[in-house]
Amino acid sequence: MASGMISAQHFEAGARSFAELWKTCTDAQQLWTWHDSGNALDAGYLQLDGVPVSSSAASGAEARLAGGEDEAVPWQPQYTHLYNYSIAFQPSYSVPILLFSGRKLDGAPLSWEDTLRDLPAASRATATSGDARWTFITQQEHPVTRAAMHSIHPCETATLMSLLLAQDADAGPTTARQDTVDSHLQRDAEPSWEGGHTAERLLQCHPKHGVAGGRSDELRYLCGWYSIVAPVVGLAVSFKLWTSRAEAGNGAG
Amino acid sequence: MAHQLLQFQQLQSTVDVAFWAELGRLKLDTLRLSEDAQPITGFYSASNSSDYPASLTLDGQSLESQAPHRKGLHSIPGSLLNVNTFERFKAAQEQASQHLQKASQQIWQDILSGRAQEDPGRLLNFLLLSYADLKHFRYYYWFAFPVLKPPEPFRCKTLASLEEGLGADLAASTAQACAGWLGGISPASASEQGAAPVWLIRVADTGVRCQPLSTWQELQGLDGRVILGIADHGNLPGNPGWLLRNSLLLAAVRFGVTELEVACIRLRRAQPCVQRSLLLSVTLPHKSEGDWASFMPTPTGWELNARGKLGPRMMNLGPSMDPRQLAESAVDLNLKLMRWRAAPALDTARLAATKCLLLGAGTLGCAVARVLLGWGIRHITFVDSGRVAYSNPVRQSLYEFKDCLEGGQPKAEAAAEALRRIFPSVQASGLQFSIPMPGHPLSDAEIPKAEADAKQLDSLMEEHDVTFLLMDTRESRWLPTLLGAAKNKLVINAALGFDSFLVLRHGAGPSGPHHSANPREKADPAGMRLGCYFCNDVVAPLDSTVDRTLEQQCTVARPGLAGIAGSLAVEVCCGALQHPQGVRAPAAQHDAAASSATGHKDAVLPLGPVPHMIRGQLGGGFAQQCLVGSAFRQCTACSWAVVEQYRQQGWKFILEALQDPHALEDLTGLTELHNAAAALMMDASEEEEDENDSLLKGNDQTSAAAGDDWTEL
Ligand SMILES: [Zn+2]
Repeated sequence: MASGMISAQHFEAGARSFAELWKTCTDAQQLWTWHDSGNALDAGYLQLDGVPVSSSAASGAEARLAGGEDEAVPWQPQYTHLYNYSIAFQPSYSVPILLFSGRKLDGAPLSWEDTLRDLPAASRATATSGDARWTFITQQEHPVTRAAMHSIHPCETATLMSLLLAQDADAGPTTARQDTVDSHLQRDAEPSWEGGHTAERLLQCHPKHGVAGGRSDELRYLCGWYSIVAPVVGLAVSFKLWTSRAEAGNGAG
Repeated sequence: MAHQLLQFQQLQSTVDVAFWAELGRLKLDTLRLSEDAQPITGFYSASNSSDYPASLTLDGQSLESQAPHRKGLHSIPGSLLNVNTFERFKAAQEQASQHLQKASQQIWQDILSGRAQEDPGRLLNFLLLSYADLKHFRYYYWFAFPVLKPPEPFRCKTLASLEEGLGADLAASTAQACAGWLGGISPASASEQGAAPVWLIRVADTGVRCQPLSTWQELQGLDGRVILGIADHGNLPGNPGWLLRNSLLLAAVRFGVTELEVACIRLRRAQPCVQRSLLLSVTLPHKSEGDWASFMPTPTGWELNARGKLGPRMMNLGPSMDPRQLAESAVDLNLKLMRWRAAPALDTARLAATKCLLLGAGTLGCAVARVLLGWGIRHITFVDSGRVAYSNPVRQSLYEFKDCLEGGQPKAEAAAEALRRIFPSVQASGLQFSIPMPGHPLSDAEIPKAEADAKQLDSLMEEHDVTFLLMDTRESRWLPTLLGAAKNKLVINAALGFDSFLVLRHGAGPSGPHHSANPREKADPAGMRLGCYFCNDVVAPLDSTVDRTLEQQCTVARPGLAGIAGSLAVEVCCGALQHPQGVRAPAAQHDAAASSATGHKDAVLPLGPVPHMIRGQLGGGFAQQCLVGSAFRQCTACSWAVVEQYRQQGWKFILEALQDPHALEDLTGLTELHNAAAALMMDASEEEEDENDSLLKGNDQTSAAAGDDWTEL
């Protein structure tokens, strides 16, 4: 993992614990759930379905009676788009990959332009430009379901993760990680391979602080990775991901 | 009446892409032209989000004859009326009210007969009109969720959340009982279709229990409250969902009550949520059994479209289903990826908009076309007069054995056809004609054809941005070289010997009689006009038999050579297209933009500096050299004198040159040069010790004449 990569087995273990941890961190309706691949070759994946995103597109349509019938609730224009997200293992890069696809309420898939409009402003600006070293958004087949989806291109993920793990070690246990990650994103730093050994140390670190203590390496990897990629596509990251304890079997939300 | 009119939230449809894909398959394999109604299954759950209602979903399993029960989803029976043409769809739309009437009649019969009470899914029976334009991946459709209007509207006495309506404790045990019902745990609810979406909740001293709708009559006379439970798709805090309407009518008809408690169960994270579920007390219209039997309820229920109007919807799935569009966007994406990874300033749009004319569809033409496709170039025109021969397919990558049959397909059209097979979105065409060549005498009868060909070439070069000279004779390059200079357009030249090649981009057209720099004057090399293929010649292009290492023996070139030279030709072309100076881009060696600061250079020259010419040898140890040469003032193809003559006289001048190439020599002053040649030769050997070996030296050296044209560079 010091190389920023993760094996398929560690991915599965990490992803399953992540899903358990996630339940304790959010009160959202939708939850990350683990799906087996259904074949012996591929790792399974996490899926988060039907997350509503209010579309910024507005029209002049107004509420009106449904077909002139007064026993129906007046019709309202709807701007909700629903997104499915998936976290799968990318075997050629040995890293997790976050995929997503959006649709309208009637089921029509969103065009790339619509999808782009739904992205956070910062991602929208860099999604397709050459400046987006880490966060280039591209079209990608889901490694397991083969569905056409969008994703953050995986080819810089390992570098980013090795940086993050190293940075983590330097910063020490009490520093907010998101800050250090952000500064990396802004500087678009050249890959640094230093500090790999300290990253290893970090991965076994600080149970005494009670922060993210007692976690497996895989779960820490998944949480770190998720904290960076999720905001790029507009998914919220709960701070609880770093503060709450992972307790397997605690499914209450 | 003091009680409020009860308003219901409309049910919405969601159609997954997989449903349309499946319908397309079903139509092609089974239905064909049949327009008979097909049974289909819709799915919904009471899963609640505050932002939007749950909807009735059709997906890949909706067309299965026995749609499997799926955990957490209610299966709703429906009827699909798929028609074959858009006109038929319009007609079906006109008859919408008859269709709805028929569907709701069935529901009404099922209510009266008690069948709906046994099988409440029948209350929700839906209708789908559709037309699948499979060619364009457009799907026109219109759902109806038929409801029967009661003789008087349903009214609401009270409405609250389940928690408020029942109190926290009772709400919790009700939610628990409903969870058992919906989860299929309670044996009474388990069926092949999963839990029925409408059921009864009995609240007694012994606890809360859920039971089938059919047990209403048994429960009468027993103690406790009986509440009608429904899996509710709605999300509004003050309104129940659409599906409750027929259930209320059933209650009015079958239960004969005028007041009914209803629990609209809504789920969060797959569990009934006491805050979001509703508890209502509803007043129902009353009639005697006989009066109900003769009552004819008015149906309603066509879904509104995205603009809130009564009418069909259309889903265009071209971008996600049309393989052609998928290929197109994948190719675009690949170029974007290249920009992201390696060349941030690459202008892919510019490449996509570039129109390329390929003169010659042989080994070089095939190689060039394929690499152009790789760069995202979408517009390619071939010109070739030949037909595909049996020896061609093994060397010329766009042809196959079958192209050789029946005397051989015309090469240009066969090559264009191959490009369309490789990438259907390409705009490729092929034209069969020969390019008029100087020194190939024309009979009077041939002149009109030659004139037409020359004019066609002129207009083709006008329409295209880049012309590639990929022919197998030297003379045929003369006219397009001249036209390129006259039009100041980018011309890329590639020529093969047995084991050597030359790739060259012609410079800009001449801007005046004295523009072309004399190499001896050591003018600013960055500003010099680059030479053309003929600039090194001191004789006019002739149909000569002099020995040449290039072109003449093209058919015996080493087979790998065309791929190498063709690829280099395209890379030179794209480099020049991405260069801010385009056709005037200085040769790589003299390009100031290339020597500026690193970061800056990438921004200015996304693909780096571009050489003027590349010469390669496989025989001599696989060496490759980049050379540069200035335009020759007396060039028979690109000099001011020649270009001016063409501009003034057009075809007349061309014809003259075709008939007598020596006229070109007279025009450009080469004849004079020849006369002086012998004298010059005497002292030329000592003079030309230029420090810059790559500079073209041959311009005024007669020793270069008529021999291996470029070996003297
Ligand atoms: Zn020339």
